[in-house]
Amino acid sequence: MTDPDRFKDALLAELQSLRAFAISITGNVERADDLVQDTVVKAWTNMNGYTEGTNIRAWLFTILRNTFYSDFRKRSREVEDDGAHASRLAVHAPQHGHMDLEDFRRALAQLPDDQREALILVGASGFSYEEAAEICGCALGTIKSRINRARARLGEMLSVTSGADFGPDADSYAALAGADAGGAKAD
Amino acid sequence: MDRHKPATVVDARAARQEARQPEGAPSPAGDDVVQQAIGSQLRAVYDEVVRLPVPDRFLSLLSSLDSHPTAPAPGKEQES
Repeated sequence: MTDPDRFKDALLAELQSLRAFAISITGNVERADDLVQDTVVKAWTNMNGYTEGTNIRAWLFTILRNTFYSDFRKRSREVEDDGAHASRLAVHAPQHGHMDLEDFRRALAQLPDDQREALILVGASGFSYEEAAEICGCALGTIKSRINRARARLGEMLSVTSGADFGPDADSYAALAGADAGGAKAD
Repeated sequence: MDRHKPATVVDARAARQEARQPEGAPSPAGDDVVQQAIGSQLRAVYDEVVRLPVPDRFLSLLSSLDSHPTAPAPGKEQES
């Protein structure tokens, strides 16, 4: 039996990461917010399906991902064309953003969905390979190979576009901090 | 000499984030500097998104869940 108050606190604590993951798979803040809302409601309704003491973030990500693939994908395909793909993770690109990060965003958007997802789960969201495999409902080896292929592809793309200058410098982080302090004004 | 610059930044960044490099992770591109930079840029790009302020609608959604544990979300189909 899950304690509702503790569960609600945990939901609250995970909202930001849920939203970031939703943005990364929908490529659109509005759709991401609808997805997060559905996820929160489903999680609340199925609260007792969560085993206390296990990783609640992984549990929530799994619900969010399943909701996306069962409900949202069909719906959004009717509205969107493939143009939205390129905007994935670019929704908050500061206009004065560092070119290296811009290159990176573009390269990331070019990865196949499954590779980008695996890379984000393990490389940015802090999940283990095992957790990522559970979230995606696939074998451990599949996650590993997706990540390896994603890294190799990014390495190729970025080495070509950025050459010796590859890598962010201190200024790019200052620019990022400035952009964040200014609030979200992504279009 | 330029090649050392990214590594320094990566170190600082990784230390701040959490140095969560899976041990024995293969580096298929064969260039550790590039792979480390990929890791740090991925986190930089993703962190921008994570840090976006959560819209108020989620806070009200959560408090409505709190008072009516099994009620549907506001704005969704209403029953009751």
